[in-house]
Amino acid sequence: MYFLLLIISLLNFSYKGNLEIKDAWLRPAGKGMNTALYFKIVNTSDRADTLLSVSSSAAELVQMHETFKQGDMMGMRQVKAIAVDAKSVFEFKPGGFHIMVLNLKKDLKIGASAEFILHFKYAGSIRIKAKVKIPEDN
Amino acid sequence: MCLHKKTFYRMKKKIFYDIVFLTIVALAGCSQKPPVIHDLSKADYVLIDQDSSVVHFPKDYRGKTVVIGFIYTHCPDICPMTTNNIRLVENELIKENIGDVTYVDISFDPERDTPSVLKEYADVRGINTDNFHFLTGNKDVTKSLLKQCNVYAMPGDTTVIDGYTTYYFIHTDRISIMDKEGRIRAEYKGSTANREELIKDIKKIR
Repeated sequence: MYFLLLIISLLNFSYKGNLEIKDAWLRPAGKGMNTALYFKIVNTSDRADTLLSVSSSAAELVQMHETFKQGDMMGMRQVKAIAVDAKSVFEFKPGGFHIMVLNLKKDLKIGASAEFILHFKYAGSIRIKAKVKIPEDN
Repeated sequence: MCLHKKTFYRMKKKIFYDIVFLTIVALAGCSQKPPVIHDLSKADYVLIDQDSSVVHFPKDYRGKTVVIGFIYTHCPDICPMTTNNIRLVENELIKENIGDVTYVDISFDPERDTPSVLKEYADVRGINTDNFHFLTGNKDVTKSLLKQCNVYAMPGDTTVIDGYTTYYFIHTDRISIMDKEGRIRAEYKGSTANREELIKDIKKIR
């Protein structure tokens, strides 16, 4: 049993019902600063779901944001919810949708990790652990 | 018959000269520096780096090709991508032993991006600041520098956390290359810049 739990904790995904959260990572940032969390939601079921919010004890506030282009300028804005269609993959990724993690309570350095809880309309809460890294290819 | 032979040799000669001409044009094109986009060579912007040292920009970088990113440190997504692109270009050029290039991030949020905040931004990313500098300064000075570089940033959405309001910028997404005389000769989208193209242009400009 302990061995099974160990294996599950080593795998880089969380799973609940028909939703799987994969490849969660976030950029490094210092205490009091902001960072972005990225991951994939894999929905293998025939029913769509909705990500309603994300929370974490690692930051003062966590919001869902999207990066947008306005002419030659880039900006970001909050989104209220994310629809995950049936049998689909939704990806939070650099330059697109991301989880905005505001006012970190401590430094998140490369190699560290932070826990987040994703709140879905149907699947309920899914706890994930994201590793802090700097990608070698943005 | 004799006339045919003459025409044949004339044609052969023409083809030879055409090939020589086209080769010269092609080689010149490969090594030619891109044209000047913004000339900062006569400007003197007094800025401060992450260690609170005064920097005269671009005068203090004369003799070096400078890769410049425009960022603000509260940005979670686009600006860290720009910084990371510059970091990866620096790593690549170090591998190639190219040392006459300096890397700079200039903040368009000088009110929040103090030297210590910039230092933390670099440290937490493991960036060595010996040759990658993070610059900020007086709001009016940075504003006119950005204007000369055709970079714009305006406050956009806000969020209230614990009673105080934090703001994000809508901003130009830019990496520029400045030559050794302080003239910007190339510009790219900072967050999604093609690093191979950037490195190729740095080699042409340096």
